[in-house]
Amino acid sequence: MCWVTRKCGKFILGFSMLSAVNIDASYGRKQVLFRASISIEEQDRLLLVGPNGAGKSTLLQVLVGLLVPSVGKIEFSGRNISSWSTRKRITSGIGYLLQSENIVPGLSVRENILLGGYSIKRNVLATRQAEILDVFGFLKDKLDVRAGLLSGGERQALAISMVLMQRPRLLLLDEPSAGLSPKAASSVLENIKHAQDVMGVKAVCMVEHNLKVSLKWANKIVVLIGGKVAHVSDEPGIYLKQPQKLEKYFFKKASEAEV
Amino acid sequence: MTLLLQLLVNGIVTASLYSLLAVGFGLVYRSMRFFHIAFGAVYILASYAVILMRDTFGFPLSVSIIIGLTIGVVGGVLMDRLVYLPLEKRSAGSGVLLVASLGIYILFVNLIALIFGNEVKILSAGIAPSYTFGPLIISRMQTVQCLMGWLLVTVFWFIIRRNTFMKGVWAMGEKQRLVRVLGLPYEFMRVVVFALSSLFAGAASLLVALDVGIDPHVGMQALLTGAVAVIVGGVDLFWGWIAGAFLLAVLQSLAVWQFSARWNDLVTFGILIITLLFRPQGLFAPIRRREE
Repeated sequence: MCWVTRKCGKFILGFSMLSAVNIDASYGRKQVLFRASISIEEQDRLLLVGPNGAGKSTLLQVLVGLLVPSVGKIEFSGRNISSWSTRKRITSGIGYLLQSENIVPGLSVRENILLGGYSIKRNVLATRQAEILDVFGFLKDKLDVRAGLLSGGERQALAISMVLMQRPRLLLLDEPSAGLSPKAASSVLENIKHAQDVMGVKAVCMVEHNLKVSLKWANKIVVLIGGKVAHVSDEPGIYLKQPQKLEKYFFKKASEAEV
Repeated sequence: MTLLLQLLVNGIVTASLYSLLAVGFGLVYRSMRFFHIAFGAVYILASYAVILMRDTFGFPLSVSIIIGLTIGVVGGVLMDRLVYLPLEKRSAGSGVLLVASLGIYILFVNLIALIFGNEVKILSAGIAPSYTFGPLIISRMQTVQCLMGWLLVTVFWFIIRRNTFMKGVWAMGEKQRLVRVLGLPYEFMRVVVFALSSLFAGAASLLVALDVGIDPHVGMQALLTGAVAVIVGGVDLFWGWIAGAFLLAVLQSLAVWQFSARWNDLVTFGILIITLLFRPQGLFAPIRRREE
């Protein structure tokens, strides 16, 4: 089992699908990430947790290229992608689900799905669409409905299916169940599981606050506090039984967190 | 009655020109969400480029028109690449872009006035022949304006209805980040938006200039006409822009009938103010859920 050490990300052992090493990132003058490192391997179901403002979403944005880090290196499948544009990263196999505003309400469901498949080849477009609609069956009846009229859970499912149209190998999800009812939230997680099983998604990295459901799903957990990686574990199941063990990270200050 | 009919016909002709302006302005306004004042600069640039090609370099009119439109398109795209895009990359707000755009407009107007002078330049001399249909009279140039205008708008309408790329351009206005993370070519889409917008500006400009000539200060009028048509019709609806343009043209020609052409601006901005007061989303736009 190869894993990144917390303080010095230079020691990456073995081969990982995506690795980000010593990332510093800031919005204007406010620095959000401090030497954060993360490594995602094939078959990972990585759960990224931490208090609000810990830099979880920021880290995902750095990985997908929406935010350019001031320091740090990102590798994907052995290639240095630090200087790649978002488009290049997406078309080379990284799928990214935005936390909000992740569908186009003014277009129909069908048009949204086609937009998700913009950069794939024309001749596979129809097959992909059919595959997606097999997983998200309820979208079939609503293909011509304006996406803005969908309910919260349906919107999220549509957003995920748009990301899946490209058949990403790595899926980065920013709070896929935010604002959903517990039932809708677990069905979204079901869909993600399904995507990993049948849609060729090799690894998933998810930011999620709904720990009850997501801890069952995950097989790896990374705790981010104050822009630093505070804890990494391969056994998220433990925290399901003993949530206080995880909670202690949430109440610590960033300076004390480097246990 | 005949007069009213004649004014209606004139209204339809003018509406074709206004539609071109509305589509040109609306494309940038909808997909970039900022007020492209330099649209007025592109408008005069295209016609003056044609004048330059024909009068100074002696090209025939048809060749000059093609070169002029190309110069307009290149100019519009360069404005984005050299000014707007760098500003946006440094996360400038829409206020900064607005001022920058105004700057480009003033620069172009003054440059062109400096080179060509402030007076009206004529592209086609003499009185154009006209056709009569019963009591109605329509000049040849009006026919060309009407046909070309509606043709361009219709073709464009078919393209945006069928084409996923153009749907992406449409989506860019409301969800810019989403368009980027879905892997759509964001910067190329901007190029296309500005190229098309400039093409529409150039076409409208030439259709007018061939009829009544051009002076360096008509750009602002063109910009405002396009902007009012888009806002009145509803920013989020393509056919709303066209309907806005049509409404504006017909009401203006009714104002000419009842009062005089001097009150055209009053009509334009009267409609704008009334719309913004009572239906700020546009006359034809449906009411949306707040979550959108």
